[in-house]
Amino acid sequence: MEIYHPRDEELLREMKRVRRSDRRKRLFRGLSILLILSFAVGLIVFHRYYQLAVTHGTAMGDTLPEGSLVLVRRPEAGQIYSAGDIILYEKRLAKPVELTILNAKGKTRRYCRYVLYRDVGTTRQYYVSSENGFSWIESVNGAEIFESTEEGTVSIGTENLKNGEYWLKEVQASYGQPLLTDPIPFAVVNPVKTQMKRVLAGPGERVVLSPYAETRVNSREISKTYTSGRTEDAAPEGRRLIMARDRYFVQGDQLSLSVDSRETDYSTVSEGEIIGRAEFALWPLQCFGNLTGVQTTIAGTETEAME
Amino acid sequence: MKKLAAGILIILLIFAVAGYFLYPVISDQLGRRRDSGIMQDYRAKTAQMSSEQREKLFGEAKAWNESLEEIRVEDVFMKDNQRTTRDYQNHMNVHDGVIAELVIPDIGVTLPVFHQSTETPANLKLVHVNTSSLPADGSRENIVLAGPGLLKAEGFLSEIGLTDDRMLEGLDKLIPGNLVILNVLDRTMVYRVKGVQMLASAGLGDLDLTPEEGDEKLTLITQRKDQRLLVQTERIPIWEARTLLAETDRVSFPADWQNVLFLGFPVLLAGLLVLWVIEIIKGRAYRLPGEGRKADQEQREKNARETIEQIGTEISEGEEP
Repeated sequence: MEIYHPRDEELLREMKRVRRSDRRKRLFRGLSILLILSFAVGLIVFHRYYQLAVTHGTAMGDTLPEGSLVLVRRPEAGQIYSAGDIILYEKRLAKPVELTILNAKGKTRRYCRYVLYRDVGTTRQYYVSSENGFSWIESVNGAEIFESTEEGTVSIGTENLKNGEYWLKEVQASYGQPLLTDPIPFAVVNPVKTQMKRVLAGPGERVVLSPYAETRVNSREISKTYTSGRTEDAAPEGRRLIMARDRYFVQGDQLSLSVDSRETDYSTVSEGEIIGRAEFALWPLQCFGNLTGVQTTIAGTETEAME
Repeated sequence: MKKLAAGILIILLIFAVAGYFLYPVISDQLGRRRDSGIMQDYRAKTAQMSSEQREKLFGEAKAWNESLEEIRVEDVFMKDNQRTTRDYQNHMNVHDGVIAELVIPDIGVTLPVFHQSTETPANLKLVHVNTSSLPADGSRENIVLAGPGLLKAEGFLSEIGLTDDRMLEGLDKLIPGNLVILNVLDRTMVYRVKGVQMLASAGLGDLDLTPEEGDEKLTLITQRKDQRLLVQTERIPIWEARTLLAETDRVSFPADWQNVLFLGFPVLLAGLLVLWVIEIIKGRAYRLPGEGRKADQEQREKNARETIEQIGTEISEGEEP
């Protein structure tokens, strides 16, 4: 039972109106702050820490089936990856460039010597390589010499050459021929594939592939708990290699179908090519979970002899 | 009170509609998870076997294949045709009746292959047809596998149109040239689709699937209402399969804004929760007469009654001359 008074009704309505508008203002302010905040957080996390990636293909077998969504952590300075990590990288399939050099009359230039250079802005840089690596120097003295064969061809390995335009300049002709003055342009167009595979071995470690036995890393047998298929299908002949200072040996989890470091053409992945490490799988649900911390070698299987 | 009841009803309705659309997706994902667990156990068992044990299994399967003179399949989806011998079920029985795994990348099929039996019939699971060759990685084989298309959900849920596992639903999308992969023990056998046909269920019996010497084939059969869909494939060497599949091996990236949205989403959710709690707290301070809990209502009624009585007594007292 309530006391009825005409003014009370109006007062009630007015108070409800005020409450509603207060609520609306509060929600509006709150939501806009929230949207800006989540956008900012998303932006920061995206630029500095994580990104998303979708894998395709059958190379990772049941670990990451077609269309898996994973969270990739960006590398920090001096990041080292350990065996068992699944890394995302941009592999350049480096095919050597073969040039057959002819003079103006169409005859091949045999046993002539060339240097390789590129133009960066207005600077000309010459290529030189050694056991430790390679570099670009400003002076032609000390540049690497490429010699043409009897058929007049020069073969240039492109592992260290990024896609782009380069030139060969003749520095010494043979048989008293006049020097070829025009530089010879060529392009390096290696296909770039972005892929995701598991690291088996890092810098300085030894890998032994054999058709008669399991793959060994540092004399330890690799574990088969996360793999399917067999290595014989991928590397029918044996191989033995030691990782260079900044190189990683990668292998897909589906051993029979994955084209990876076990093949000499594919070779190892260099540190500069690595985009990040896949840490967490989000989709499909059967793969949901942490991707790190997988043991790739079986302890206690060390042997003295290799292969 | 009425507002609360209406609110709850609306929320229930939203959940029901969302559930209806999400059920097939979640059910399929759970099915894939279960299958993935089965295949992990299968691979673990295979890894534990020595190569002699594996060779022995393949040898037994080869002997089985040689004993098959002719391969014909009756309608494998009929209930009466599901009984198989114990001897058959012991061949290539790696783990829990699973022989192999079938993977078809182009249509997203990843299924374990079971022995055909009354517990695992062809209209519920992907089975190996017992009258055909077992996968023995040899010559003169025609491995016939049969499985259902879209599986309906249990009981009442199927009445309203819900489905469980997708199974071989996408098989009619295959065209010649697509690849089909069969993982047996540690071997990977890859086949290329040669032809896709639709047959009447009676027509299956007329088909002669006997392989010639040197044939390595895989045949897939599935139901499409009362017709049967048949996919015939032939084996390709592993190096060719690797080259073909290497082209599909790549990684793509969602757009930048999708990344930002995804990574900022947890903050958004947490923030919405905080806002909701704030509203509830502030709501208390704004309570008006006519709202609030029953105890206050009773208290107010009591106050009102007392006031009226008081006025009444004042009036009656005032009337007294």
